[in-house]
Amino acid sequence: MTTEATPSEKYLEVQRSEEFAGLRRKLRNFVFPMTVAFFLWYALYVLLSAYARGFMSAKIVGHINVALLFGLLQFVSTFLIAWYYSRYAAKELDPIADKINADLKEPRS
Amino acid sequence: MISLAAEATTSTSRTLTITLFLIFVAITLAITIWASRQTKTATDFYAGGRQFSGFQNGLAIGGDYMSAASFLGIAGLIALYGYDGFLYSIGFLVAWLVALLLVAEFLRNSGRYTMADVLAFRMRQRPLFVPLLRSPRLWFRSST
Repeated sequence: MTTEATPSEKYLEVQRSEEFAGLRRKLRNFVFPMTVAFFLWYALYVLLSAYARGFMSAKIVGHINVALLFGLLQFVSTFLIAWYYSRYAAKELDPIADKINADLKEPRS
Repeated sequence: MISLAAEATTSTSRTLTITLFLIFVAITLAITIWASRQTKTATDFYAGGRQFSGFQNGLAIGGDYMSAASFLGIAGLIALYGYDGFLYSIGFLVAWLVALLLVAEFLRNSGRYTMADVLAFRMRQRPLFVPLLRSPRLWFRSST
């Protein structure tokens, strides 16, 4: 018991570990490119709405024009990103995180 | 537009509105009192004791978003400004992704309940205190 590191030392040790660095890298490699992507997609939508009115007001079926479809596509892309992120987290991130967590808790129990 | 609004508030419709409002408040209070009997720790209060599944939590957040801002505000904006109102509401939607990817994941396992708590947890508390007091926005729940 007395040779056990204090909790904060344990956390620092985990932070320095290779496993944790890998987990962080995986998370960031997903989150940052995805953020740039959806932001550019949304910016495209807004800029086209502002400056390409001819293109956006082209009718496709009855009263539905390109602008409305484009807006609905934003909905679709948001749901897809959320769904894909939840799959990615469950498959790649959670196993590593659970393992690190279990390793941390082990000596105490 | 203004004349339409003036016609709507006859005395009978006002009675109906107020009655519905009071019923709604009564139901909400009843649920709150019932829930408060089972709330013992801070985790129970802020995070439902962490006993909600992801789907249930998602429904709760959805309820948050589909508030008066959506049903009244967006509907009104689209009625008044047409496509511009629609464009405005897409902004709400995409902003939720920012909260999901850039905020929620990084806060998830900190064990803290509000943004202010997380910042205090991660940084030195004193220099943070003053700007936090001035920024009400940072008190929003890290709803994770």
